[in-house]
Amino acid sequence: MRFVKTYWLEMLMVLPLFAYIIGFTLLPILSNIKESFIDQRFGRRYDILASKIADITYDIAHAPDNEEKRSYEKELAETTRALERLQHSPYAGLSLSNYHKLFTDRSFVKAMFNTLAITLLGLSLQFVVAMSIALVLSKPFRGKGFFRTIVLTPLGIPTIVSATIMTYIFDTSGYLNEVLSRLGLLGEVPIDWAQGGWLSICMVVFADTWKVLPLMVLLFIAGLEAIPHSVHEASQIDGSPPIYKFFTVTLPLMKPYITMALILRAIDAFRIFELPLILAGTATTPLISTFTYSEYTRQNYNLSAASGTILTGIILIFVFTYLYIVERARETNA
Amino acid sequence: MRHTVCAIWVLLLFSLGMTRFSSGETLSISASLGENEWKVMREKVFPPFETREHCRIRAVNIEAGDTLKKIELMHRANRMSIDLLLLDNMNLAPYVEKRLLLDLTKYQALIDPEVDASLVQPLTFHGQLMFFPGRPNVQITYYNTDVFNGTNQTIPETWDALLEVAKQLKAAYKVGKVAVHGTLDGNTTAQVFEFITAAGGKITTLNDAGSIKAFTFLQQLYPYLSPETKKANWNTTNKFLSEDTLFLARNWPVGMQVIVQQNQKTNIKAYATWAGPAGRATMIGGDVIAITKRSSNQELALKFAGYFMSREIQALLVTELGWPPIRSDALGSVPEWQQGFFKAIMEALRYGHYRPAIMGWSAVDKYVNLAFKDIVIDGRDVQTTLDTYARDLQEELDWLK
Repeated sequence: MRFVKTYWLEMLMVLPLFAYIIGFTLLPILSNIKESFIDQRFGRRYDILASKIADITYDIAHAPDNEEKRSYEKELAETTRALERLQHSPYAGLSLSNYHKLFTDRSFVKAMFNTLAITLLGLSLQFVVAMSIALVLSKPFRGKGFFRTIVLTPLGIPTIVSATIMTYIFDTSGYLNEVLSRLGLLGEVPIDWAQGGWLSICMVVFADTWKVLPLMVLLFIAGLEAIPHSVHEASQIDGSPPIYKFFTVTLPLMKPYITMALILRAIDAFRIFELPLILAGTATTPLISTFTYSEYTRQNYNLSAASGTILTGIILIFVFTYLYIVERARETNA
Repeated sequence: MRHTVCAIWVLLLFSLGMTRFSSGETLSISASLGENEWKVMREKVFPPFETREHCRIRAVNIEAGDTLKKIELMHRANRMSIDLLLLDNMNLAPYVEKRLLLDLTKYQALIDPEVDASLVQPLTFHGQLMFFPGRPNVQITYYNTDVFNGTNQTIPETWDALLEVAKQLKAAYKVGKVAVHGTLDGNTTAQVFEFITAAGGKITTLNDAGSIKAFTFLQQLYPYLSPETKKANWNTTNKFLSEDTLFLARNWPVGMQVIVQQNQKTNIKAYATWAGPAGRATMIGGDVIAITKRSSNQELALKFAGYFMSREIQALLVTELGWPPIRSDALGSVPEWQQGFFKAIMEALRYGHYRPAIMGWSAVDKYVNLAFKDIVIDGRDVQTTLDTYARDLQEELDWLK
């Protein structure tokens, strides 16, 4: 009580944030998880009957006359009986049926594979390219400001716009096929970049890399600039060649930044949505996120919830890994 | 400091309270329309009504796939902020079953005798009129006149001719130049519905003779289609036709605005459709008008519904957007450049079929797309695949009865 009296203002100020996190993050996630354990067939029927009962009850309370009220009551009795029958059906109760359905669905298995492939391939490529650019940009040279601006530009472009820009490159009649054709690297048939498989995965990875590279570059530049000059000077005095210096001095000192960048990017990469949807479509290159969306638009809410829960689970693994590795390292250093 | 915080809280609560009292007569209309369609609504359709009824119209764009959930949530919370809906006729049954809409039976008189009766009949559920006709819609076949000029190629009028054209174009350009909507969603289902119906089948049966013929044909056709088929939907098809990536594709009439007016591709024309083994068949899509059951502006919404179905507005929509009218007296004002397209639309409507008004259209959508992927894209056996999916579909549909 004394605590409340002393800190009531602080508590009042924190309250909106708590309400926001509980109301708009925690509860929807928990509700989504609960929905995922309800069989899709039961869920759809239950949804209709529960809606109906709620509405009839409202109508009874607002009926203008007794005759109408009786007709609503009759309807309510019928619907309630239907709901009772449903509650005793083989699909009632919590079950793993949606998860079973997902893991036996070839599209979902493919979506999981594609998501993992895009994440792993993307992270590897983005790490190498971003590190190279960061190394260049951390050195003083003429026009560095201009070059840095160019590198950071994609960061300000909305994902949906970058996806559209990429369609001009990757359409069968797009720039890339045109360039390959003029270079004589293409036969008579243009490449169908959205045909599925590794080609489509590489296309999405390229587009994603273009979009997210600036963030990685910024994190790596911050890491490179945090390394004290004295360390570089010491290794120079020792006569270390640049490659040796990079692997034995720079890279180990950059470890916290690299870990942070990779985990943050991995979380983001699993959620990738607009780029694959627009560039490759869902027909040949489904991802967990696009699969979840497709099921939602088909009003298969429980199946969509199960797919979303799996995606949330994967992301949470990375969030906890981040907290475990980075935050623990920070505490150890402190 | 504490006084300041308290004052901010009081102000916040006061302003929230004020918004509830300052709304006045505002009619909220929700629809899923294209940018140019909204433009016409905002500039030409809404203002005369606002002036006449001294009200304000608030237009909300809710994507077709999200509308049911959003309306349901507002209904359950008893805070309905949408008064009138222009709904895609694809999936009407859940709105009725969940009792989200006003029963319009006693307002049937708002439908003028000039309104085509065949458009009203499918809007009755359990003997109650639940929707007013808004606009019928039908896909037409767009073709590039530089290629289909009668000398190089002629427009295909049958499935056999379509297969031949697709083969010849692929041979000539080394890449397919014909597409069907293959995005594995509602777009694909709509076109598969047309193929199945044109073969005499029923999409809800899925493994009858007509469905088998349709999927067998699509499987034969697929290797000669454009690779963009996988990305072709109601929106991207316009881009592909405008860029000459495609020379022949079916799409909704909204495409003519984008292709001809925006992209100035006057060499793209349209005709109704091709014939399958059982004749020509198109799917009647479009929007219907619904009024939410818990709207606080039902009277105004009913007035707007009457206004929207009036000759004046239907004629305006014909002129501005090329929307086919719901009434027989709203013709004749089509601009010259649209006349060919409009002729194709009216002809395509003659071959029109409605989708069955069933609970569980989403299940049909799912299994049709699974079958399309397995059979057409991945080349699996037609009969075996359709038998499997037909059994699963039937089980889901029976469950929802």
